[in-house]
Amino acid sequence: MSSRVQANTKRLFWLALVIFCSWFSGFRISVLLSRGGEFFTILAKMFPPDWRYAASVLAPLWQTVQMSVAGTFLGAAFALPMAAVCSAAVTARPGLSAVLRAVVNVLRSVPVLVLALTASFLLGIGTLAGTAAICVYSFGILSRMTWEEMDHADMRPLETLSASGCSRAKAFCRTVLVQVFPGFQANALYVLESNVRHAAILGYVGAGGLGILLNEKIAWREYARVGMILLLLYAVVLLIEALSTRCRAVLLGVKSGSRAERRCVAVLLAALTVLSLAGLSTRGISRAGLAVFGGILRGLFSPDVSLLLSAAPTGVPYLLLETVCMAVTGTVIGALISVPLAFLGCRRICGAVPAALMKLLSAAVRTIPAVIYGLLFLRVTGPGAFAGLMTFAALSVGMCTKLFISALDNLDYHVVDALAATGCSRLAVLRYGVWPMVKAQLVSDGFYRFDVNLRDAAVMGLVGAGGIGAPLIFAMNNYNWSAAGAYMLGLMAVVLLADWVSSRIRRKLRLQT
Amino acid sequence: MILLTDLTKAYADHTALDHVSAQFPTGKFTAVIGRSGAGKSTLLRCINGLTEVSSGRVEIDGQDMAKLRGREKRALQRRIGMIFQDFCLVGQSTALQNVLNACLADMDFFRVLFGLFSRQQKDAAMQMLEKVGMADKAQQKAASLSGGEKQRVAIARVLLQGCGIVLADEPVASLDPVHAETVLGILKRLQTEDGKTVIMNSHNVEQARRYADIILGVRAGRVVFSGEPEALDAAALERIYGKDGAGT
Repeated sequence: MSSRVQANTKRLFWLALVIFCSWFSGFRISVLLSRGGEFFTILAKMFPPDWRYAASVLAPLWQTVQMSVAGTFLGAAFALPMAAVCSAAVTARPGLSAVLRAVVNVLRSVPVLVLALTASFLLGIGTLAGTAAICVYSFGILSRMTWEEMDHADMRPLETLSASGCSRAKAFCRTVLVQVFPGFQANALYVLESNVRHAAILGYVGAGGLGILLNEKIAWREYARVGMILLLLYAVVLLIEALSTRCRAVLLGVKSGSRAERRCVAVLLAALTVLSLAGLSTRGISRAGLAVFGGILRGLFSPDVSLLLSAAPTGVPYLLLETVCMAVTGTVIGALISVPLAFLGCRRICGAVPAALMKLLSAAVRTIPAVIYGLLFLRVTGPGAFAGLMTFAALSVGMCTKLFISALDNLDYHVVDALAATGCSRLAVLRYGVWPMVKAQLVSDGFYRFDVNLRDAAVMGLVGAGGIGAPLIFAMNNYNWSAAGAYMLGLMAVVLLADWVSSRIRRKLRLQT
Repeated sequence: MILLTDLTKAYADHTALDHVSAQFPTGKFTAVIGRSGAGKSTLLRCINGLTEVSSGRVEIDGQDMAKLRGREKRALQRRIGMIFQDFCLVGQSTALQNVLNACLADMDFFRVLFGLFSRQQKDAAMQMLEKVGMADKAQQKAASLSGGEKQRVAIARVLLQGCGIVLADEPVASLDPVHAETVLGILKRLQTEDGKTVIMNSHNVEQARRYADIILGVRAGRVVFSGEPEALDAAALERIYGKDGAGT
């Protein structure tokens, strides 16, 4: 088969897949056109926000920040040594490395909301549960990111020092670790950014922070107060992202920072971490929690097989298919909307002012928790998978816009400038200069977001927006561990499979960039 | 004295060293020459234990490297310094930090993890950098140094290690002639002034003749010449490189 026919066949396959997923998850453009205005009904009630309520939000907001910082710090602290053991290039025990990698990958496949719910059973309701959930979540992500960096590090200095009589562990500390540590710190800061947003909703399952307040205010339809909560959360997200972006640029050598600046930031981060860890309380831990945790484990090892094998709409296979279709359709819609937004947000293409405004807008879109989007879309589509996929789409717009802007900002513009110098129109320069260079990266980022959407499927359960999330959360809240085990195992299997497929595709795409 | 007795290193598809026996006298500069793939690098890597031998003995001052394991092996390896063609420095660390890595073997783990080197260690490292003419670049990241400068930092690290044996695997192959002569000069001084045993692989026969006290010629995993540079005649070169005399 010629390469052109192969390429067209692949395109047709993906198109057919997206069409099927859209149909299966109930996507109807006619509904959006006729009822789309309802999206803004509740949104309009959130503005202007209730400013008098601000003081009441500060304490739970601080709890949310505490959980994020403490959880990320602890997760990162455990991730670094784990990555060293898991790295195929570093470890002298490949068998152990393979087993630990599998364990970490399985842990990564557990949605953070489910981790929080499990932690709230085990550790009691409160911020300790939220911190533990974020810790485990961060541990999984950072372990994998770091061992992949270690696998690609230069091993020759390690071997040289080992050859001169130094133990492998010591040689590792001063060679491989020195190479990967700035990247590790940068990744931890990036994970912290997303953890602040996760932490905002963990309270929905009793794990402390803003989530409890959000849940309460939405239930009471006090939307002006919801608007105040979101506004303050937005401010915190902007602050943390600004700090994180600056720190990452200095760590990765993109920008040089003065010694005073680096010390100032290090002291600030250290103080924030210490204050966050000091705020942890073990009051909620009880023996009953351990018994419940045992029940969860028993459910995982003896799941309800009838659910796993049932073809009914309440069975695991159907729910998983619905979840995957929601994630595929939502990601595609979100990515398509993000492309023009990203071009607007790229400084080199549209200038500093539009870029700055787009970045603020993208941060605002990312700040709004999934439960809010779910609530807004329920008014448009009604309950079910359609609301879920639109929620995925909105979440995807937030992250994809940011990733796409980053891809556009990091292009080699010498090539583009050379094309512009021939007298091409601006559109031609974008079409024939920028787009060919960036499209593989954008597709890769899209697959990454699909992966994240699938892991966040449990969140849809909080708003009745279809997929496996609702039955999973319902089963856990009712202590039906065998059913919960069936749903969990199904979701974890799909997440692992999607992760494997997505990684392979992204690796191929990376070779093209 | 380094003594190789009937040393063999066999891989699945070929034999890199085939019953090699050779001596490397203490305090002498030995150059190992031969074609690419002759087994020169494998020879050096077997001497310092980087590569496990298939059979034979690698005696270093009476101890057989091939039979040692764990701490005993590391203790013997500490007496051997190695310099590579591609320098093997940590690019993100400074020249000084790379030299200080020679002290790691004698430090406890937590001091190593946090890079807590003593004032004496730092002073000693600076002295070694001065010796190789790199003191003014001590705080520069290794990645920003030129090839010749990186190799001098690598030699400074070997000096700080305080070893009696220096193995150099084609140390100047990727350097320009000026820097190559500088590095070779430093290696020669390690032997003449510090009394170290130096073993150097080289593609360049002329350099081998000028700097070495003894030349070892290797072909297809076997030693085909061993003697002083003056004895390296056309017939010997033909035995080492074959009729086309590559490498002369």
